[in-house]
Amino acid sequence: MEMHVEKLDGDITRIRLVGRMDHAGATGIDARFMESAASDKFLLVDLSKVSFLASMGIRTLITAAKALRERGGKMILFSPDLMVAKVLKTSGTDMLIPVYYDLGLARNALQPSPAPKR
Amino acid sequence: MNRRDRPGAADAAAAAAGRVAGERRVFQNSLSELAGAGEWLRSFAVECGLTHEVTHDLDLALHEVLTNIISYAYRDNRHHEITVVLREHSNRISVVVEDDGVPFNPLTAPPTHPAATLEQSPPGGRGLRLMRSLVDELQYARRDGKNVLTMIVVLDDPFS
Repeated sequence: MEMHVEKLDGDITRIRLVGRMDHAGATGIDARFMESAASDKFLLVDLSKVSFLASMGIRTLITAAKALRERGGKMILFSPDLMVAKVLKTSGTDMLIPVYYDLGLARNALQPSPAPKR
Repeated sequence: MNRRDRPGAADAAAAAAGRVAGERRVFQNSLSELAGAGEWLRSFAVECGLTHEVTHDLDLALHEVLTNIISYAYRDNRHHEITVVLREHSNRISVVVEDDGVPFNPLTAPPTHPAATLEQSPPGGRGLRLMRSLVDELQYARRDGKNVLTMIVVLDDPFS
């Protein structure tokens, strides 16, 4: 599977995953993913191009989210397709890592905009 | 008769379910076999005209079962064979997986419950729960020193 990393505004890093996050796919990106979880602050994990999510992939997501939380960071999942969303729900992962479909809401969840000054 | 044609418990279980069309394949106990098993199942699904959702669910259920067997079923470092039989019969698809690993009945394995918080959540342990949720029926038997697991998905009747 492919993993593309892109820096967005406000300390947000977008990780775009492409392909099957099965045993081989998850194992292939695990080290780079954990590197990002160990150094970045806010991770937006774009799942829109992930067609298959196995328990090994969920393990990677949970481990990274926990590592970020311990460092005061945060991770969210963005725009999973129907099948991947079903797996996230069935496994209870969506209760542990928030899932968003709107980029604006996703970014705001990671780093709320400051209240406008009066 | 070559090894792939030899009838086994997996074939008997599939036949008992009422065979119409099916395929049988033998895999080694190596994680590198997972990709080939998935491709084979998806190709079978295309031949049977299965929907994207049913194909996905069977693909994931087989992936989780094979991953579990290859990772945990063997107490030695020897090569082992895992037989998988795919069958389409009336409105059902069955996937029968036969392995000679340690006895393991996933139907009686204690269910794992999702953790309430990220902090309490173990990183792994979701494979069998996922597999159980993806299929409509599960049957297990220990026959001739082998685990025989049958996963069945009931297809929607397009005319109902």
